[in-house]
Amino acid sequence: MKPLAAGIVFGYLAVALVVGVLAGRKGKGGTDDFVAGERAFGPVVMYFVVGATIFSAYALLGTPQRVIAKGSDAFYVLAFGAVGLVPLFFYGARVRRIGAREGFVTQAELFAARFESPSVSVLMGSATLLAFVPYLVIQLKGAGVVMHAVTGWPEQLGAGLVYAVVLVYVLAGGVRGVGWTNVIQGVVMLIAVWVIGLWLPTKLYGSVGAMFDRVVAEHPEYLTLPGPEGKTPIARYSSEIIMSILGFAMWPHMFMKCFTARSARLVQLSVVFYPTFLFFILPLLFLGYVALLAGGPTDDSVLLWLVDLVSGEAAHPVLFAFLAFAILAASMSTGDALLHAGGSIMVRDVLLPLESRPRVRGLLARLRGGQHQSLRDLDHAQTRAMRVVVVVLALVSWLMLGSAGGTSVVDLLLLAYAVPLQFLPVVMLGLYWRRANGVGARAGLIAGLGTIFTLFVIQKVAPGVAAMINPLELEIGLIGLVVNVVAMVGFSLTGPRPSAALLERFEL
Amino acid sequence: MTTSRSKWALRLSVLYFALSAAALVWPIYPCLGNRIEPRVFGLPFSLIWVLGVILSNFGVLALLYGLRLIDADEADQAVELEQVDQEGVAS
Repeated sequence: MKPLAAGIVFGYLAVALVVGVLAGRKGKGGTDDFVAGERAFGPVVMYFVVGATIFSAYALLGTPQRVIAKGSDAFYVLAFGAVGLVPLFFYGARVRRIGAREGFVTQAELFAARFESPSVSVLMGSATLLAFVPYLVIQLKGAGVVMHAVTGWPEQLGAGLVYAVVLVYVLAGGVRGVGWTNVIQGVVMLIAVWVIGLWLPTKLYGSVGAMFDRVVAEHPEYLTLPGPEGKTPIARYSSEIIMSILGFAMWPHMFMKCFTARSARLVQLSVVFYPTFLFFILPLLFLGYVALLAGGPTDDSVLLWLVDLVSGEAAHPVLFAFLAFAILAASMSTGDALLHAGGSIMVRDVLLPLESRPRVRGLLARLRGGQHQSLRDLDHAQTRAMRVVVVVLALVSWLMLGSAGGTSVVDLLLLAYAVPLQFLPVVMLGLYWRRANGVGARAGLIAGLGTIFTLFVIQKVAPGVAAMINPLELEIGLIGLVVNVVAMVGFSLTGPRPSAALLERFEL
Repeated sequence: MTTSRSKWALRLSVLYFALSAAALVWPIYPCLGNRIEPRVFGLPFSLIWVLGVILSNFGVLALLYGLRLIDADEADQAVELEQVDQEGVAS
């Protein structure tokens, strides 16, 4: 147990708890409040919601690690972030307006209405949930690593405690709880990472520039592609960036945040200022190069290892505490958004559309203790159901953290990142192409999601066959996207034209 | 605000962002950006190049926002909606 760090971490958890719960007492408490914060987020909260949600524990722990392993391949995060959120600048304002007019709170809801097809929402919703779980597991893992370093507890216990706090403020505070805590977490991350990222190279090498002088002299191959031992061919780097740019703004928990903004212009403003958040990756790159020169480990413990380089210094305990604080903040600010969005999506996008089927309705009624009125009509029952799903989702991820070990989660992540890419045609064609219709949207989603799942399973079960089907080792998400677009355009053209009244509702 | 003006702004800005994305990948990045020299503020050029693209995108986005060029036709409607929202909260 490190007393200072433990004090700061537990103090912070307590503050997050109080702020999150207070946030929950502000609204009226219906679904519109729980999911979209009554569409009243101001500029500061929006800025941190967009920024802090994207910066996960994975970005914090993984970026310096990537520098040591692959050199300038780590600039990848900056590169795709430079353009990734830009699409939101173009369609975000419209999504905000349509959402407010029609009462939408999730991504799939909007497109189910645009395509007049509840199955579109069920398809998008269930694929999203599947993608969320591995993403959540790595956030929990980040929290576990930090708590282990601070207290010496096993990872699963530490992660459990941190996420118990997250659960309380997500359940009590809804999206406002997520938003307000993200402001604290964002400020902490920005300050901590910059302070450590500048202090360490200066302390050890004189200045950041002097540190890079040494890298140029000793390890120049770590500063350009293809990197050490040619690990990152430029083609692979490029395709990864393009895939990330295309999929970035499609993540449902990001898309949903359009609905929370106070105005349409504000959605655009948060995209404008997003790059300032991106600059916080920069000190993490510096730290990666420090670790490289000092011969640090190549796994995700490298960030905490770095701090011990100055273990004789008086400032060491403070630095360590700050860093632990920052990683925890990164884990929590992404994890809470995923949990919250997962609950909302499961209920609004999957359960509500399925409820119209008699068998599902019977099952749901039994689960709710013989309550026969449908969920759709009972706003508070919906919010309650969302809370149940949030708890289940956290529990499943926590159990997976204990049982799965590391590797299978990383495998699943590859699949997880391919999923939002499959929403690209539905989102872009749905918003910009008048001819796009429900037949096309369903066909595209089924074809795209079907392709990535099939390829993923083949890769796992029979790698030989996979190499035959996909000799260039293209990203499975990209292959799925191509199939998806072809199916969506083809079937849209053969299907009926959307009515003028419908198009008008969606400003087409 | 004429519609033709915002239409052109939309086309040009989409073109700009496509180019800025292209600057970060093959073939532009390996030709121009992927090198150590010249160093700027001590940082390798490969990193400065990426930071430059981010900065430039920030500038363009700020300009588009400030001049109300994208999605500007509905700008007034957005203000109205904002008022409706505020009334809704107040009531």
